[in-house]
Amino acid sequence: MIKKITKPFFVTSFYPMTSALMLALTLPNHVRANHADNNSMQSQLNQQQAVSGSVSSSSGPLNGVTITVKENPALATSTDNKGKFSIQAKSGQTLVFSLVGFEKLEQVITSANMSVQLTESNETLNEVVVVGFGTQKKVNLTGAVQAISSKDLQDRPVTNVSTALQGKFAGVTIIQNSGQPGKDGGTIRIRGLGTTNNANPLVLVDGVESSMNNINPNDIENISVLKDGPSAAIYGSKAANGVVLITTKKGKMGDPQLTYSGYAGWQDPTRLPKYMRSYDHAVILNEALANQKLALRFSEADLEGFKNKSNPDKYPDTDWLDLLYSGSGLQQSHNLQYSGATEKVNYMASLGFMDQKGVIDVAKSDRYNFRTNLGAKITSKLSMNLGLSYNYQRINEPVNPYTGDMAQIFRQANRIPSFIPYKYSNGYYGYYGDGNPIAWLDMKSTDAMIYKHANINVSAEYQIVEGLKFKQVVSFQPRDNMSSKFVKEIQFYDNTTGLPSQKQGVNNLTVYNNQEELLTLQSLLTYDKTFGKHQVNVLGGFMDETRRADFSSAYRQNFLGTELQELVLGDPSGQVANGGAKKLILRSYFGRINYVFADKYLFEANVRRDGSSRFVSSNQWNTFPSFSAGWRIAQENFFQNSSLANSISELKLRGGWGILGNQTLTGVGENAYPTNDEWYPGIYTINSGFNYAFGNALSSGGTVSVAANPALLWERSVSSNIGLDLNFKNKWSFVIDYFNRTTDRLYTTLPIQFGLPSPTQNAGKVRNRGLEVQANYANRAGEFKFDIGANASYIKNEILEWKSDAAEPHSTFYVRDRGLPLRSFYGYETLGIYRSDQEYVDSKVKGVTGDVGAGDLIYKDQNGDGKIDGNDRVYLGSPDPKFIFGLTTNFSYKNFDLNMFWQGAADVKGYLWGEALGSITGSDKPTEIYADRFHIVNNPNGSMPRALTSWSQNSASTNPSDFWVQNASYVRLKNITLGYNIPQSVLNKIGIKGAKVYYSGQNLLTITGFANGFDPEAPADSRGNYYPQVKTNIFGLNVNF
Amino acid sequence: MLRKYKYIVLACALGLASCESLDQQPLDRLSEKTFWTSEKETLFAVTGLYNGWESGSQIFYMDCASDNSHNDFSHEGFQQIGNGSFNPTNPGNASSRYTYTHIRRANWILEHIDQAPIAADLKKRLIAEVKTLRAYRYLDLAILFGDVPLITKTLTIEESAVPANPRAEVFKFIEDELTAAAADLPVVQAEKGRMTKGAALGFLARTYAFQNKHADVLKATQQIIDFNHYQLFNDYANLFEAANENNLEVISDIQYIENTFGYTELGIMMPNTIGGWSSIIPLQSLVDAYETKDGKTIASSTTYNPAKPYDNRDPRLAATIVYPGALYAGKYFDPLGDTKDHPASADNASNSGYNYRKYLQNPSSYSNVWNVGVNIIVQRYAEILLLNAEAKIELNQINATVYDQLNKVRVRAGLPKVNESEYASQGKLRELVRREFRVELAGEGRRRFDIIRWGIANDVMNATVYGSLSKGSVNATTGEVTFTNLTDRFLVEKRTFTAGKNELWPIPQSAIDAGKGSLVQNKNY
Repeated sequence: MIKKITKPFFVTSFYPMTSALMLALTLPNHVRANHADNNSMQSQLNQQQAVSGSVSSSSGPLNGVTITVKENPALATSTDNKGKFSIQAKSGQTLVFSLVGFEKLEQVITSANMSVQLTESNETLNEVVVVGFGTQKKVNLTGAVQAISSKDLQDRPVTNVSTALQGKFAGVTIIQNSGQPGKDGGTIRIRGLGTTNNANPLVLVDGVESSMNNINPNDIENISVLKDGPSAAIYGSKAANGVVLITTKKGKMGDPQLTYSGYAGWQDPTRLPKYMRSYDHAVILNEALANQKLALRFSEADLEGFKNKSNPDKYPDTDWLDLLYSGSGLQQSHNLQYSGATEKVNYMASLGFMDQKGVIDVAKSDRYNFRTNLGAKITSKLSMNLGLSYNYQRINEPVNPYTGDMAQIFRQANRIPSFIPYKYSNGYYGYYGDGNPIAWLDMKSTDAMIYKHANINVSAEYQIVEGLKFKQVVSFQPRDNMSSKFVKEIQFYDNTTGLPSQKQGVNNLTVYNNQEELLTLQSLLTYDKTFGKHQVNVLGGFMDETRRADFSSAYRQNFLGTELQELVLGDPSGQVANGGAKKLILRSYFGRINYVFADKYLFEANVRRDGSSRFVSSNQWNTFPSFSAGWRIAQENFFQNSSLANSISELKLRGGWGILGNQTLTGVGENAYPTNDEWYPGIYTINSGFNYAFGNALSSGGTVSVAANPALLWERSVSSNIGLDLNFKNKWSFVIDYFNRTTDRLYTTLPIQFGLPSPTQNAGKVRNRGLEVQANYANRAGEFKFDIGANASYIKNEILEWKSDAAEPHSTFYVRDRGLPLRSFYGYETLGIYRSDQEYVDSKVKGVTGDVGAGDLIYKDQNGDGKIDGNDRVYLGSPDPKFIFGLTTNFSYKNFDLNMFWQGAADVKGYLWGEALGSITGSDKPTEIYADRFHIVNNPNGSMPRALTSWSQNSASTNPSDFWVQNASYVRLKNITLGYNIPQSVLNKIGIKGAKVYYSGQNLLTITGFANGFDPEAPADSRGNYYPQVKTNIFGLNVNF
Repeated sequence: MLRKYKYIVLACALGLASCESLDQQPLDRLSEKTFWTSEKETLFAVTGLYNGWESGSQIFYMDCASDNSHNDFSHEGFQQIGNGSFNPTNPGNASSRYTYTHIRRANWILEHIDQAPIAADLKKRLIAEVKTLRAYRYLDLAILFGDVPLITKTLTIEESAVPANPRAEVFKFIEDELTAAAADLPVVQAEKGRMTKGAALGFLARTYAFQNKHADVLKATQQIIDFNHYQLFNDYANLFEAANENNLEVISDIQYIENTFGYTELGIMMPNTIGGWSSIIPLQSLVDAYETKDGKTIASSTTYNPAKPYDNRDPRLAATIVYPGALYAGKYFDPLGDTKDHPASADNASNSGYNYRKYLQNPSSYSNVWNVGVNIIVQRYAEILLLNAEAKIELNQINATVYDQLNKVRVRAGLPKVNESEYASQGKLRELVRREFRVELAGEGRRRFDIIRWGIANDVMNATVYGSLSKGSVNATTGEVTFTNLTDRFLVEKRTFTAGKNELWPIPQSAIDAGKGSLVQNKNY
């Protein structure tokens, strides 16, 4: 018999919900209890001795039950797969048995061998949820707070946290627009889009505002989302878009744990546009030219050449997208974590490595994460915590010599026709006007970015008297973001003469340095007291944040070669240097009272007073109050005495109201200097850089180029929430919330005559109303266990007030108007296609342009004035979905588990235009959508407008219409994971406590009615110049040593 | 005191309190409150107004709104203006021309310059420069859009939905401003590129010319001539080259410095085979306007051979246009054979078989044609001479000075003097001066202005437009062009022009929308 104490994969006692979940669901059978020696059991029980025994439920032995000694919580163990345990304890002490899904049991030790039975419970009475500046029992929550644990994040090949959150929360929309390595974070919207300004939620990591993308998903203990006003108001002027609280892992009581998790796999692009190849394109181009009575581009011989493909130099048929998406897409991730705790010290340290290669050449990312959390009880009254993390990430992206960015590579690949060759047989590159996107990629011009982010978080907590604690937090986050973009010139040659022809760019280098510092100070005073049936928690606090951002950049060109890529080797002539800095200070006082009477009546009030340097004088300070209350009906005597109590274990009604603010004007990428987020919007300033050359000398000049608005106030949201929590004893549970959030003081545009771009103004009012439903069901039948979580939400976004009375288009295809969603497509309503020139003449409605006839779209003359113009445009739907839903299913049987996660959106529109749609011209290529175009002879019933090289009447980009704004509802299998826990018998032989292998796939299946070849999650208003979404297949391994 | 301070620092260090005020000022931008306190700052603001006061591209593209040129790409914004398909929601370039950006910059300077501690004569001069630039922008607005809001101060947000003023009021304002500015400006500025007396009077002459106020045109142009400062540069082709910038023919220009402050769009006019885009291409109609070398029109000249259409022509043709068989960039330009300059071969090949050569006599003279230092001329003395001659012709004051002005322009170009017996009548002289305007200033963005003010836009714009003869060959070693068919031409496009509508551009729908009901769309759009 092996006399060795082994510990479970993760042992926890502080966060019963999360830890127990992990225990129950990660690695069954990996725990070996301490099998005590029979002889030792005979010895005196009042000595510290091994107590052993077994734990079972009505359906058999229980694996993974956490057992701690109440008098000395440092002692902990858990049961093995036969329900056996052993622990060092003495008679008279009390053992605490806990497991998620079961009632907690306390048992005084009376003998050296104990056999206990746990009763199942669907309630987790002691489940604790992280809320603003603290934690709260879930049963006592009065607001709309939803939390998930590390369990929900594991075994998925997600590269960033936002992706992992997709579909997990009701009312939280996360749209992932790109699969680019290192830049694949999603956009998070909590309960709809409430503003034209910054709409990103506030993200706090371990209590301090931080970046979601700086965290290794493996380091996360849990995530809470504060969705409603009452819960978020404690964050005042930053909370209007909701708050995401992330807590990182801490060491858990017990022996050191070492775990490894890793995966490797590959990525492929998801749906890509399908473009016409040479022959089809040549035919349709000729047809278009014929329709316009212009000379044909291709002769019959040319068409024949494209058809038989015998002369690839003269009649190429290049598959540009195939050439573009030739990157391996390989990715791998490895993480090591060790943690543990003694009575006085807890520690956790982790190392993470992730490496991703793009689905296109050059694009790649590698990331290294380090984190340690160290806590110590210095005295019985004083404890301290130190959190350190450091993230180092390198991202490479290809750039081109024509525009100097990456997007143009995608754009050109989506434009350049197949009848342009990639290379001629003599090796010369083919090209057309804007170049050759694959030749650009071949040059490997790279924008190399390095992000170094550190986070130092120190806190001390002192207990002044019983229940009264003071906590001081100091956090400092330096961020260093640099990039070095070396663009290589390219010379194309005439393939017949060999003479140089087109040249793009000059060899040039731009280096960029952006440094940011965020210093956060927090002082918190808390008082917790229970008197009889009265429970009171009081919080008072002060917070101060100072943020400073500095950038410098330098440019030189005409490098002699391209091997060495440092600034000093460039030509000083034409060099450019630039730099700037800005600073923002936020100061806040806040307080909260929680009061619970008889575990039935819950009340909470928050108030926060915020001052920000962003605003001018009297507008600097504002107050954000909130109130909420809850009633746990199921705890009432009348309820418990009724028959309902037999089936319902929890019924709680919640409601609240609060005011929230938003002071960030424009959300900016965290690694970029916040150029677009105005930090001094109330002060008219003179911007430099408006230079001019007098003679041959450059004079520096400046002007007021941005309007200021000294009257600017906080953007304000008034948010109310009514919710119902309902748990059935038959394992069903429901959470239903109705919310209403009205944001006013929104911004709007100004007439051209103002002469400056609009300043941020407080001008409009937007309401988001909706309903969220979450349902969970869990059950088990012998060794078959499953749970299902579903969430659905309906969000109605509506502009209530706008400064102008008239509809206000703010681009060629969006409109803002009362009664419409904030983002609303705007354009013509189509009534089909004119099937003859006469039909157009007979309609007596003059088209958008002069030259309309058979094969053109028929627009509805909304105002009946006999012509189609801007006044005939109507609302065509919104790119923001009205319905979103997520479905998570977990099945496990013996050593296997299968998890699936589906996500969908409905009542949402996407817009086909630009390169994503393509055009016939020959400087662009058409997608196969054009195949069924109208032709008076060949295809009089065609579903598409006639072929034209210049589509004035039908143009998707200049004349948006419901022909191009289409239903983009979808259901997507975001993730499927199949795992196998390696049996303990095998692991014992190699001395490993637990191991699991799994396969996981992301974005494997998409069901949508949106145009073939288009990703419904792609940005709604993009022309197709983006890094596509990816699907991922990986194999992973988790080991607990 | 110091002890006390120490405690505060200690408190800050411990994170118990914070010590910085919430009243923060921008760190990298000047506050308007503390501006206008020095000469340096005042010059800084005026330089900021010069930044982007006119753009070379707008000048080059502008001929595509006339029968001189065609814009090969609709997304560049001038094709639809040329062929009449532009409208409020697809206004092409009209959306970038309907702007008050520089007008606001100018208004802002004029509102504050009085508080600047600078010498009175400098202040007077700077005010005059600012007024000239503001008037220039208003002239552009009024010519293109007709009635436009006349704004002479910086507006608050509340004031900014402004209705249009009648065009005549705007013209009156421009005339007054330029007249006042001209009085305060020197003929020669120490710093090249600043507005001068000549620049103000030159724009004034355009303002009058557009309104057919011939006597006023005469007065303004005569003032410029009487400076005895300006003179025609001796070499028409090289007048536009970087080596000759700031020559005495230039009245106003946009100044550039290679790489440091370069003009980045010259390459858009070059032929495909040398890496250009052929965005702006000459049309046959322009080619036909050039006289033969003997000073006759091609219709009347005996030296004109339709089979050799580029031989024996006004030298300005070869200086302005790259045509089939022209020796250009080291080879003979060939849009006729199976080359990448054939219109059907590639998207960036000119659809007319012609490319512009002005400013690009020798593309390899620029180390990087996408970042050149050559100044782009906005107005030059030849235009003044022609305006002066035209005014006299229209006023029927036909005398020797009329022929003198015309001869100066023609002789510099390498043409014989005007045949005074052939061009004796007002009508014939009008025909001649209008032809001179067209060929002398071809590719310089003036033709649209002229066809509108002459009232001939409807006649010349309603047409199917063509390029060169399309059937034939170019001998790659000798450049000899042989046309095998004297009627087949490259078809460029079919254009329409609606009289009573297209003389004005539509106000972009976005501006109408943003104007919240204050603006009225131009007639018939």
